Amino acid sequence: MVSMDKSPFLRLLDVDRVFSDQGRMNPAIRGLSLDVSEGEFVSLVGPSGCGKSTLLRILQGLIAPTSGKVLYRDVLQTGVNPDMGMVFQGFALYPWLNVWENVSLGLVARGVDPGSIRRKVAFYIDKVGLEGYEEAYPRELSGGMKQRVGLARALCIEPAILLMDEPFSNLDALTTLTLRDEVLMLWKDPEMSVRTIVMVTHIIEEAILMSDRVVVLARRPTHVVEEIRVDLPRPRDRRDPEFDRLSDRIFSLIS
Amino acid sequence: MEGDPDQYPGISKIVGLLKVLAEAGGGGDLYQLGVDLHLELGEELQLVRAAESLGFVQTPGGDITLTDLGRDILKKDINGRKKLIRERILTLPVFQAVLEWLSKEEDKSLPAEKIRKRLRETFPQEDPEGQFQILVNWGRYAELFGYRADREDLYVDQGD
Repeated sequence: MVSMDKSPFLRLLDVDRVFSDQGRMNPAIRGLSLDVSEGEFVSLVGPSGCGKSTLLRILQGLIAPTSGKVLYRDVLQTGVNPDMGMVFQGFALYPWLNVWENVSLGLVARGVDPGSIRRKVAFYIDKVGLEGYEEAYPRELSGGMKQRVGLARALCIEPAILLMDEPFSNLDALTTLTLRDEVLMLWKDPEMSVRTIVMVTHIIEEAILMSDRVVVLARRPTHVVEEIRVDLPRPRDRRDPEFDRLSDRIFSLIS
Repeated sequence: MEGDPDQYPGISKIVGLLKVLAEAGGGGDLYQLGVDLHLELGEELQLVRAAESLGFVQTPGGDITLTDLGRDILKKDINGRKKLIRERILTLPVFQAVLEWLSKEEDKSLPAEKIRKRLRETFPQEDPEGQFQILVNWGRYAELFGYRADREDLYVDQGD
């Protein structure tokens, strides 16, 4: 286990989640504990179908654990945590709304006043590099630009934590390289409210390239197999021998 | 403008290509690059040609190498990249021509059909639809042009 020097910011304590399927109890997560520190970039990796996305939804409070607790800043989390933004694998954009309107959705839903909405939407559209695309509709955008809309929408509610559910898996390989870089730039940008990122991915290389710590999950019912700290200097180089060693290790834990 | 937005080489893809080249030590063999990236030949050539037109790569013989500008853009932040690409786009004949056409209009805009027609006349060797998609997409990225899909007109982005 990795030792934590900072006080836990976000904690999962002995979380179980059981889904009932036609009367049969189907355990998805069993006895899972995890600490995330403020300012940390944590990746959750595991075999497909291992319940990574369920775990992300438990962190956000969209799904309640069957037993166990989620603590945020030492307080028991009940319901959706408003301090978290989510970036989805499939972008989750409304096709009939343009870029500006899609980005503003979260703020509108929170009842933010129109002046603040205009200011914030303009600021985050600029930050993710979407200025100039405000009136474009999703069908006019490449995958990379669609995911920038997803990012701007998640960031403009000014969350402390960004959750990302396989955010690059619907993008081509080259666009993925660019977007990974840009997400890291935003994470380190002092003007961003987001300091902490939890990302689900099934790509080991992506987890090592981006995160401070890789949490390896087991098959269902999911629990933490091992946590691996990545101390490689940034920006990271895939040709670094240590990079190879880490990916071999994670691969052997998953397979 | 409906249609597949991936018919043109997007900026994120071009920057990704530059990153791959930088990681490979600054260049490589064009054929091998296509194999490594699992790119179909037509797609690879379109992408490489786009990166070359912006001054980010050179393709001597069957090779591809990053230029200094290609290395520079990778070091920039998100808006630094936009700024550099805007400067490069302004050197491209098709963007210069369209900017001039639009500037002569009172409302700084023209219907898409008119632009396509003039593109066919002025750049007969190019595919007008591909050129138009690049104009809209790179133009938006560079904050040079705006495009109203419902009215199908292209206009000069005056940064309101």
